[in-house]
Amino acid sequence: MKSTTFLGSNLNNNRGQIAIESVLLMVVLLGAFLAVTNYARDKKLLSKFVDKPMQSVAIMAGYGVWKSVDDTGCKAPGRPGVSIGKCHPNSIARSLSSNPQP
Amino acid sequence: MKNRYLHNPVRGSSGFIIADFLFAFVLVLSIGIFVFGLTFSLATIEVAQYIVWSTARNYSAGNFTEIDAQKNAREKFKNLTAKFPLLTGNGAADPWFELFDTNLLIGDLSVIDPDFSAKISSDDKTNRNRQPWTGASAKLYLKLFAGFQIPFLGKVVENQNSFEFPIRAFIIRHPSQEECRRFFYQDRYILGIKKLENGTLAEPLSAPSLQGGAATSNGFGEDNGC
Repeated sequence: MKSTTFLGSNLNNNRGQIAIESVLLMVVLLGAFLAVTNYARDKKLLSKFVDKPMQSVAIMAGYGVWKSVDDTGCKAPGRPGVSIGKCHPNSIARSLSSNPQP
Repeated sequence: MKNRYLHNPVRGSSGFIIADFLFAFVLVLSIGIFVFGLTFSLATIEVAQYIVWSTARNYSAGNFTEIDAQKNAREKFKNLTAKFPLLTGNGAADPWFELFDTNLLIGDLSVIDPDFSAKISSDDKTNRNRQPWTGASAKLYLKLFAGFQIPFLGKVVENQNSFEFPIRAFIIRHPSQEECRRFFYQDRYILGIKKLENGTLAEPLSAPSLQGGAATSNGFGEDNGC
């Protein structure tokens, strides 16, 4: 009778399972979180996410065109690849003429 | 015995909300700071563009001399940057952005701005089918955004130099009073009309002062277009 009570109260039940599973889940989730953040840190994902768009903004502020630093020039109709300075709208002939140039 | 198990904190889920809240709070705060920094930086670029544009506009207006126009434009730049100390560093001990007048260039940027000059070809400089590269340029440093560090994800910006870039504005400059008078009295009259008229026209009454009225003699009073 005594041994039945012992088994029934301490081993033959699922009390404590939630605690063990919580620890396991915490370890797994924390591990996954740290792995993902380590990967993001190593690959500099956040920096890449911001760097290029901001450089496009910088080129727009300095040269008046939406270009990235990797582009060598602009390719507008009638204007083959030219320097980034020439991509600036200031380079476009705006004078009225009977023969306007692009 | 039964009651003890019922109140066992390990079996309850009442603490989960704290863990959830802490996690969500850190996440939302991090993303919030990041988005705030990004949007504030973009807004500051707009403000800086306005300041530089306004400087170029001030320089474009005709003045007594080109040097006077430069002085006025610099003063305009200083006055406007002083209105936004946090965004420009003019008057703030620890600004979020820097837009200093030490980097301010005013004039023909294809000549005085080496960064810009390097990006345009010689053809760009001499091409007469475009507007002149006259205007203003100043460097803006996104100090706030460049210094961000998100927990677990690291630095937002690896290369801080890429977050310091020039802002340029181009407007043609109106001729100054000095240039108008030089053109009207010297280039147009002495080197132009007078030569055509075989030197028979009289000299101007006197060399006009910059701020005085125009001398009138032999048609000098006509509209000179300035």
